[in-house]
Amino acid sequence: MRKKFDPEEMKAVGNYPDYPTHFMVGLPPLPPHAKWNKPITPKENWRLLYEGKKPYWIPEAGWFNCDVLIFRPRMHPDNAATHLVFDQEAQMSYDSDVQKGWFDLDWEWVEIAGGASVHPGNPAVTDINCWEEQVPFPNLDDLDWEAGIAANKEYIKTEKMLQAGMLSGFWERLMSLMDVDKAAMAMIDEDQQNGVHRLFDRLADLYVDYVDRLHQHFNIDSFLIHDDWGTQMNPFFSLDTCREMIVPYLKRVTDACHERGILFELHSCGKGEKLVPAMIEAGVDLWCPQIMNNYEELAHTYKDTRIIFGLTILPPPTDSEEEIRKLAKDFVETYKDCRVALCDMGAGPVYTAAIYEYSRKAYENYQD
Amino acid sequence: MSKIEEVKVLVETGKSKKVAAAVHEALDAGDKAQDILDAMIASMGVVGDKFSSGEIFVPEMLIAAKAMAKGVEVLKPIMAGDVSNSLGTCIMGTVAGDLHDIGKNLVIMMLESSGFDMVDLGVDVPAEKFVEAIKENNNVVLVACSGLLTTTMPALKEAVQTIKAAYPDMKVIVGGAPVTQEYADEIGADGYAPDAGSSAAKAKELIGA
Repeated sequence: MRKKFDPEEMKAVGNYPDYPTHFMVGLPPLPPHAKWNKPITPKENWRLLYEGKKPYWIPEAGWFNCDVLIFRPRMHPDNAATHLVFDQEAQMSYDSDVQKGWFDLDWEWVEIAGGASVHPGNPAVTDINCWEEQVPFPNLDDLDWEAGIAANKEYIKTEKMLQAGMLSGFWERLMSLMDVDKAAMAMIDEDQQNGVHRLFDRLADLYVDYVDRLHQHFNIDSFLIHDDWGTQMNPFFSLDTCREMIVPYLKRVTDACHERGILFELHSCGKGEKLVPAMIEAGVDLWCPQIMNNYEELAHTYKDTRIIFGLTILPPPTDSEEEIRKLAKDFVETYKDCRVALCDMGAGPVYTAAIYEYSRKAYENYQD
Repeated sequence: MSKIEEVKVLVETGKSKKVAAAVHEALDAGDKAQDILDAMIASMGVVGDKFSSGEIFVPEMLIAAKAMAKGVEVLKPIMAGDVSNSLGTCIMGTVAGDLHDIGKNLVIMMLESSGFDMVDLGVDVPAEKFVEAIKENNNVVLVACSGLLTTTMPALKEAVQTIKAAYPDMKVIVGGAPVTQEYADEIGADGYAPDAGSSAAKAKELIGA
């Protein structure tokens, strides 16, 4: 029997550790993240949801100050090259806006965008059927694992869900190598598909090996890859194309995660809801869809499958405390029977507290 | 099925390897080059509509545009010098600070397929470069500015206003994920297309074609 909700749970018993790498360009510094006197840890709560049980509360996904501790150690060249380093060390400094990542790609940092990408127009792979001759394939042994392990000993001792994230998934990797339009055509052009399959096959091996090493050395709870499958209005490619070209390879990665008890999150921007069947077939556990997707339909249609939706339903900044609590109550009422998380992209303390309180009460009578 | 109908189907389905031969066959069968070109343009209109409605996706649209280009290659020597085929020159680029090019490339393909001569300025294009390109190219009737990021929307505004300051009568069309009709109106653009599929129709409307 679960312990009934007690307001004392929401009292701070300290703060979670803060790290200098925990910031985003263009966003204000984060306040300390208070640790509450919750009946179980955020890590344990996520585990319940992952295992198909009711959590104690609707967990918070996101980047910072939520129930996830993101982990992107600098030993991975893509993390460093794209300014997405989140680890225990000091902030990285850069002497140039262009940095080398895997496959010898040059990643260009664009300050105004707060992100990095490969400059289009001069792709590293001009013929996908010959990619093996055009780019060097990454070798995980080249990463400085010893230094990474030594530098992050305290970081990984967390009560939150420790999530290792990685650029890029299969589609994004193809885009970075070929440019977007050529990559898109290669996905359906029968003269190029063999080359794409060979690349994705090697990538799947690489990612599975990476997951295994992260599991061994850092005991991660979750693994995330970025693979934006959507545009503002639709998926980039059809469900059939996704099933044919990506699902078999992504499934190998998620299988590797599940064999090790690791939750797999697909970070995929755009209107990707038509591809959810492919996500489920590929074994995706968590997807935080952007707001152009139909949250209610997704959550209710797929509530009996493995996928958890992280929903970015946030109060307008002008809302009063009463209005914010009402929105939180409605959120919990609408989604308590579904498999959801709150995707906390600046939700604010009143809202997150109310989501905790209402969902905790909604689930307090659940039989474990 | 007539030869010209075959060409249409091949373009719509993106059979780029077969289009050139089909265009030759249509010419041999007595079809006029202009009629074949018009048929392919109509095909791309269908492709654009299907893309806008979510029936087909980015790869299918790109493959169709590539197939049309193969057909146009065959027709070009035959139609060389016939300026009546051109709707004029359109300058296009992704605005300063934004490295995204897929939306821009899709629009370029759609506009090219509908009869515009396209000048691609690439990505991360400063506002002044649009103005220079208008000066440097002949018969510029339209400028298209693209931006994907909310953070580069001010750059979109700057581009439109810089172009309008230098060429008040120049038609400017804008688009990109965060852009809306309201924003296009607010920054003084003449037109807005919500997606690449509908961009050609809007562009033609703006120049009165």
